[in-house]
Amino acid sequence: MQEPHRFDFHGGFEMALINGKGLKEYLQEIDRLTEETGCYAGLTTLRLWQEDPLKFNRFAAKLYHACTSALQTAKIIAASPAAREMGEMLICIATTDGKPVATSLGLVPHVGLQESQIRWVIENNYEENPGIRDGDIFCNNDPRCGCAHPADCNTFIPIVYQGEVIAWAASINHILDVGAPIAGGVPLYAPDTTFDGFLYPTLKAGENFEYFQWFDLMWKRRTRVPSFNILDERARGASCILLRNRLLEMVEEFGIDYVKEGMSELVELARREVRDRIKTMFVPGRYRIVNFKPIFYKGIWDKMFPQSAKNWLLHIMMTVFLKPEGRIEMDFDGSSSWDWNHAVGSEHLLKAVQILSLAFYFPFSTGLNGGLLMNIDLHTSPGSIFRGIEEHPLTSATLPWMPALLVMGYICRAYVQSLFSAGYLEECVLSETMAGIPQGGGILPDGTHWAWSDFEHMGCSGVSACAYRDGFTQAYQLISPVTDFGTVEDWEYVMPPAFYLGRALLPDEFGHGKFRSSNMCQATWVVLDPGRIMAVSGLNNPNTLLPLPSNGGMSGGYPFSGNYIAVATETNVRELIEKQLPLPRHFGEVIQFAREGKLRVGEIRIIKTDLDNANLSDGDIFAFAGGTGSGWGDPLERFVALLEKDLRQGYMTPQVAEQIYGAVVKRPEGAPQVDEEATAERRQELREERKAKAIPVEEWWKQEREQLLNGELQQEEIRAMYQDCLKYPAFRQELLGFWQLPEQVWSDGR
Amino acid sequence: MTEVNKETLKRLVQGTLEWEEAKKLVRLKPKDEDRFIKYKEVLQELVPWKEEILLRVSDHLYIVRKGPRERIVKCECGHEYGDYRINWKLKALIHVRRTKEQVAELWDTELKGPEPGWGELREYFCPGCGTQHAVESVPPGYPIMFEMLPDLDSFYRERLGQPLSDESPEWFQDKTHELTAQWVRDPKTGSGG
Repeated sequence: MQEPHRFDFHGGFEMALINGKGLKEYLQEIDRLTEETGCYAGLTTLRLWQEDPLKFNRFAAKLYHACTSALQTAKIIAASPAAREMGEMLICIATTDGKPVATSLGLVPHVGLQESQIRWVIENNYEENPGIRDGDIFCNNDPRCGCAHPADCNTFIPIVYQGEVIAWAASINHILDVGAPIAGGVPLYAPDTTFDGFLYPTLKAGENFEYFQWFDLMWKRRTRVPSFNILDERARGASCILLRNRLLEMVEEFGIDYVKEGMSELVELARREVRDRIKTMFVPGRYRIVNFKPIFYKGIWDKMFPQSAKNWLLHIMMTVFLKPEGRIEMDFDGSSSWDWNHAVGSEHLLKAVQILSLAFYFPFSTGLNGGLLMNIDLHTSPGSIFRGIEEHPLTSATLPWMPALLVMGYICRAYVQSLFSAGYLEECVLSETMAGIPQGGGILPDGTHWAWSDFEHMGCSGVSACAYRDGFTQAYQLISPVTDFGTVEDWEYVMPPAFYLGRALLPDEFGHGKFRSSNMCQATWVVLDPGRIMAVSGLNNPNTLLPLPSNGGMSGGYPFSGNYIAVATETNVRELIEKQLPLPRHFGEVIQFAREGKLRVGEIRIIKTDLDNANLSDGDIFAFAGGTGSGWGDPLERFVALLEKDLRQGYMTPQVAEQIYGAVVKRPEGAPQVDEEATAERRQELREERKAKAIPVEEWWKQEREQLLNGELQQEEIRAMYQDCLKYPAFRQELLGFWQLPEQVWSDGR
Repeated sequence: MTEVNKETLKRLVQGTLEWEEAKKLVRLKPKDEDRFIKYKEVLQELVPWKEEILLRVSDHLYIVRKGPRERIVKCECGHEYGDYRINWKLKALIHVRRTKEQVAELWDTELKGPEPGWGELREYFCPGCGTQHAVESVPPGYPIMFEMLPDLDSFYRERLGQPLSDESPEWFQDKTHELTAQWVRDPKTGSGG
């Protein structure tokens, strides 16, 4: 037997790993060293970085390049545009104990999840049973094994050198259909885990770098689009093998000691960078952000699943302490409890996704790795929505992202507020936009089953205003630095009966402010020859039932009014096509054409929150939008030059310019103009009108309090939300302390 | 290295800095350590009153030193909101949009919310100048949000090396509910206190 290589961490400990045995002890040793020293793996000095920074940076660059090149090469194997085009994929390299070191571009939030899933494998004795060997392929999509949810499928392999697991290559991508009762990748309306589709805990799906055929059979038997899903799996596997090969080449170039120690130093460098930035760029203090999400189940499950026969208004409460010593303490106490719906969260996912909010504001030098998360102390409460996965084996695993998204896109407000107060205005860009995700499926005329998820708006959305300029137009994606809609042609081929009528930046659809967010983009499709059946559902982010962010825009800006989903049925669009008449390019034009008699429409359905299900027929039209963010500053302060540019480019209508921005718009022949002097006068009038129509908060408080006492808080779901969240001390203190009322006001049914 | 002088900061504060110049600040490595000092000087020159600015909290709101052991929130126009440990919103004017007609002044309510009964928009105006300082989008009955309570003593001592003369652990405390408790003792407040 070959003598195993012995790795020496500055003489602190030696570990011999033979055929994967000893990983658990290794993990425990790393954790112990980290705990004792406060530095990852006990690295109080960064020897390699200090002795030869050029060589170290070359090493780091090669690691990043290895990840990026592995992903860019392997993703061509996939057939799904989500993987190939819009970048809903990621690969990273992790240390022996699972700490992510370097990553490709792609789905950033999954960097933290690679750690949780690799640790899960080690802590659950996989080295004993089924064993961890060179050539093994592990796969999972079960959040109870450390990953996100069924649509985010993971593949990871040990990288073995002379009998030792020196690292892991871990890949993830979001698939088009998970085989749930509701077609698509994100099946909403899941009372429990039996609705999650093809859900698999960590399993060994192959060995000797070859997949077992039973795994392909599972995709074929349990999902609607096995060809896409199997190719996605092959892409993940190939990317891991490519990355493995590159790392072994680096071992030959740099030596095994350098590679192992260098990877660990990269993690520790990231930890220090976040710590140092908190200390030098941020104002310490307490920051509070809240969010809400309505969930409608009533009337859908009542007969068969009475525990899910209700609606909810989810409440997410975030209290963030930026500490002067360079740590971030996050407390989610006060958030709603988990329940029997699809929005059940997990604590490990909540922790992992913090890497996303940190990514925008902290790691300017070191890139994204597990070190970033080491400065965070996170607290969730027993029974809360963020413990649902951990606390009950049958809660739905469909969408732990739901509560996580409400956090990760909005917790940045704490950082931006702090940076603003500290004077780093150039860094004040809110990463708070979410996106609508349509999905669906059906049966074509020839009997072929199909399903699809459209991720174009997750790939590219509008963005909030900055402290000093408007938001960048369609140049942002919350979950990945790779901003890309994907081509319409590629999306169309995965949704055979749906054809784009257009992608449009809608006028006036942004968060208003001195600086406004970028316009929302809406995609509109027509259904032609759907076959036996076609249904569409989808997430609507941000919804418009309760516009987000709840904290509003910064410094007096408005939140975005929110997205709506729209469906028009029984249209005569085929006639327009045959007669070569103009077609509506977005849903605003569908409504306009209907009013003007240019298009016959049977019914228009506007959905202000998520779409549960819509069965579609030939000629139906549907639209989803991509979301945008909030405005910054009082709209009455918007520069005239910016207003004129908005008007000339069609991003804003004169009506909105006048009504919300106080502009006096002249409409001569040609481009509209804003009268600067008259606008200044009008704006002063509007400020006086504001003072006249508003009342002191104290007076409002007394009136509202009286209404609460009289039981005038009638909305069932709101009352239920307050009753639920009163269980948690942080919200209890806020609610009762602010209103100076006893708990009975919310619980006695008045 | 890009020089971050007060003129550049002033244009950044006023929103007139060109994007190409702003990008240089974004890419600045390392960031200028004295940014806050310069920022504070720029702001002090822009406001019409003399009190020392301790921290800027929004475009037009500042925490200032009013007197020995007195730190208040003050608007650029001069209106004073009181002790910064009490949510300044409670001393503002509020306008609530709760009905469709009220929201329709902002956007098309056939397509957009907030849906009456589910949510409302709260606008907070300065009693002095009428500036809109904040907006919230919340369900009816939700407590007014207190978004930022800075730890000023730690910031000045540990970050700037300039401890404030009136340091005290009492400064980093939320005293908002003391004000609402005071309101409830007002004879004009309804029963149930």
